[in-house]
Amino acid sequence: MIEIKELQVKYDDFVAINDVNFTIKEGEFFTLLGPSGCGKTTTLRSIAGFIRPSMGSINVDGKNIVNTPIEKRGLGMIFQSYALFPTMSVYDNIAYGLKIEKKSKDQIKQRVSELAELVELNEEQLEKNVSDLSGGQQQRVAIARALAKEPNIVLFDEPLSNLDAKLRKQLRLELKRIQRETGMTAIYVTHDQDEALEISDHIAVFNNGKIEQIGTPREIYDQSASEFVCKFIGEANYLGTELVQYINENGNIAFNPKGKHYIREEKIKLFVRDDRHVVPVQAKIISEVFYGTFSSYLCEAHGTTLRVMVKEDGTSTIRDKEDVTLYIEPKDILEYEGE
Amino acid sequence: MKSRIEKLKDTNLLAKLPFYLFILFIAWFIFALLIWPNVNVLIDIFWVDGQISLSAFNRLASSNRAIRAILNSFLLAFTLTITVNIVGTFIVLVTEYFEVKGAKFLRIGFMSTLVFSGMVLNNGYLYVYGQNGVMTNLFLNVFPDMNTGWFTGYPAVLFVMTFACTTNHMLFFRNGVKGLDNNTIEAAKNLGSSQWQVLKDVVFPTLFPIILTLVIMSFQLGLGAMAAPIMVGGRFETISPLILSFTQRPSSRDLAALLSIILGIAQIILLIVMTRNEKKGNYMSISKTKTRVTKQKIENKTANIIVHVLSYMLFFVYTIPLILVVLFSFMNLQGISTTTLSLEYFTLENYASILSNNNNYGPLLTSAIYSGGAAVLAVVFMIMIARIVMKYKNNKLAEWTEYLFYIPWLLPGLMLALGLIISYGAPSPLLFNNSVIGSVWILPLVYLIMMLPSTLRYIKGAYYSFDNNLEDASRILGSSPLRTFVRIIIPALLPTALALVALNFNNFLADYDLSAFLYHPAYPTIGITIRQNADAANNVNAAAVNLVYSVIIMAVSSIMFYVVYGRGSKMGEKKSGIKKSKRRIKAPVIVTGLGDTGVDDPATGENA
Repeated sequence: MIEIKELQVKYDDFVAINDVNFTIKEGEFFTLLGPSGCGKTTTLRSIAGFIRPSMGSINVDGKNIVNTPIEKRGLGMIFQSYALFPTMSVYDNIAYGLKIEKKSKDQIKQRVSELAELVELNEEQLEKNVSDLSGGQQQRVAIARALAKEPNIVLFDEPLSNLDAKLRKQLRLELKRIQRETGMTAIYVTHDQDEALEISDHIAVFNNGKIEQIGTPREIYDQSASEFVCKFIGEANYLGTELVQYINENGNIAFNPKGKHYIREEKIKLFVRDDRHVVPVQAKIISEVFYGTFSSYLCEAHGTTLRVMVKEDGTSTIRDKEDVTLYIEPKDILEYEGE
Repeated sequence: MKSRIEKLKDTNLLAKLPFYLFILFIAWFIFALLIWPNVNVLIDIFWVDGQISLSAFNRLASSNRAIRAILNSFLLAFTLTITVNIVGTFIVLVTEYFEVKGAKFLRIGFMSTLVFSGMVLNNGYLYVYGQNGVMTNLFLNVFPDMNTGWFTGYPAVLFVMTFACTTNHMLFFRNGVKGLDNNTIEAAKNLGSSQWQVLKDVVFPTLFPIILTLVIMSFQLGLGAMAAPIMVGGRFETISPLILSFTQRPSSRDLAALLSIILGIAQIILLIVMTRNEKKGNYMSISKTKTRVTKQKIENKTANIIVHVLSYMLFFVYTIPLILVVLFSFMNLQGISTTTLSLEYFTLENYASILSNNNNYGPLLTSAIYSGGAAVLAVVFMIMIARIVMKYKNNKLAEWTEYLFYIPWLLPGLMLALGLIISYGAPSPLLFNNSVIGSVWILPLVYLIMMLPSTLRYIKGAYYSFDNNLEDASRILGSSPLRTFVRIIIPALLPTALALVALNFNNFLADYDLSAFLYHPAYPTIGITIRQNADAANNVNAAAVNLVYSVIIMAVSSIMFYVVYGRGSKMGEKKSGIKKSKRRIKAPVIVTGLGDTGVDDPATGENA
């Protein structure tokens, strides 16, 4: 178990992270998510030992490792740039940590083979120089190298951000598979919300050096604890005062008119087939964008511009400038304190 | 009970002892070899008989010879700035910008000063145009009454240095022209500009910062000129040779010191101007889809012919001395003395006698050991310093340590040489009761000091290009800091380090300026020997020796350039660990960056 308590990193007067607290259970996939400069990488690098915290503790299985040298922490890490040693072959890169541990040649060979199989690298690729591999293959080498010493905890510093979108999606699933197969605890840094939602057991959303919310992907998405989390995760429509007032008058929940209100774009319906507590809202379609599997409509309703996402089954007859009825269920509206 | 050593280990003191000792060594090095000698130059001028004195100024002002030398230096600097920039700009434009037939061939000739440089170049020009020179003898056939000693004085110095100093243009201005965005040229043409207007309104303004820097560099080279005035200057004396002359007379040492201070101040001012110029940024293309310059055909037929004629005339000026030096090195003494090229006189005897005779190959060996040893040490030393500077980047002490290692950039090498002579002429506690006078170590030591700034700058650049995650990755995989340094960092720095060893070695192999001050009589360097042999009073044998020396030095330089910039440089690139986007930094430029004055100019041998 990893316990981060009151972690703070300060550079002169600049506070990079402050009062960071979270707990990660063994075998969990835990993601630190946030925009650039929010402190997620600083937190990860503090756990790795590359940054010395100004305050707080990092407990691994009950032992505070803040003063433990980097090489003695026994963690694995996968870097954004992969950080493969360019002077070594793929085999030597994977074997590097094992050689430091003074394992026998046979042991090293066997472990490298196991890892190569795990990350799907073949014998021929093992003999190559790392610069001769593609980005995806290099990432596999980086994973194998990090896992070589069988660390219980592996740190991932935006490991997929250098890959193209398709490969990124593919490797996400592989990472999750490897994590499950090995049973390791993964701490994963990313700014990609889709990635975080897809692979995490728990997510900590960072903003301005602090954690805004910790929760499961569903909790983070459906019950965003702050306006920042709501806007950062997924797409949300801001509801103007006039529209909120209309919903208050016609719905079953009364919202604070001074608050800020959002609704996810897929929560607004253009069609309803059951008798839920929905509020019908008259709107006009401003524009339509067709994405293949779904369409996105920009609508104008009670002074608010709303984006509505509709699954596309090929039967939609809605067109530009058409008057439509949108259905909003008040319980889907997220309310935050106003300024 | 724990032993004392174990207790020390526990407190981490013993483990850090080598580090603290190294810090102590750095402190001694900086104070004893970089600061104290220069302070002593000032003391020598302003502190006479226990009190502040300005007598050196008065003596200098009343010395006609000194005043004339200062004026000569400034005259040379001003005129050289004009001639070098005209010739330099022309040769770059005809090889890279305009469509000139045989441009590749011309480029080889114009770049010959990369290897045909320093004392070798001066000796070559003297051999060709001097009193008994090949060309002089040819001219005599046409003008029997001409003065055979025509190639001397200010015009000769200006001529030699003009063609020697264009190396900087072939490196920096050429890169600038190649980096132009062809779209901007096409846009100007599309808007109705003539070829001249494109040059005036687009090309030159874009390259203005480079041009300004080259102007300043030419001025610096002219001001500090040493080898050319000594070799072909005759009565035209400049500051640097005068410093050497005054240093050799103890009663005039304060004047030498004052002259070196004048040179130093001028150098600092020029460096400040140059740095400001660099900070203004560059005006290179902001286009994200830059296109390469396509060569421009000169539309005006007459202009095209004139440009072609001038280009080939310049090509011959550049290459004739070099070709003749190479050819005559294979002629026997009769061929050399009569300046006759003939298969009948062909011999390998000159080479055989040099390579088999200790007296002849001795200076070559001395120079190779001095410059090679200093080059290796400078790189090793600066790898360690750069490591500390990078590791403690936010530490003021580390920052100042770096600045102090740049001192040899700010002040002329001659001032350091003089400072060492003044400071350590007698045994000094700062040198552990040793003296530099009569020591064989002083010259390689000064070479090493002069190599430090550029070496540090480039090693630091390599550190910046190095992906820091590699170090982190190694540490987290369980590697100690030392193992990480040896296994991961050093191999990544190796291509840059080897390139720097090669370049430093090259830059100081045929050094004359510093050797003239500090060489050990029993171990003269190649620069000194060429200078002594070049004396007109010397015999044909000496001329033959110089020719062979020149060819050997050129061959060594060529090999070094091949290793650093040619195919050899590609060996380490792939495995260097340098981030892909920064790979262009792999091999340093020869005169280290536009702001660098710490290394001898490869073409002139002058220390900028």
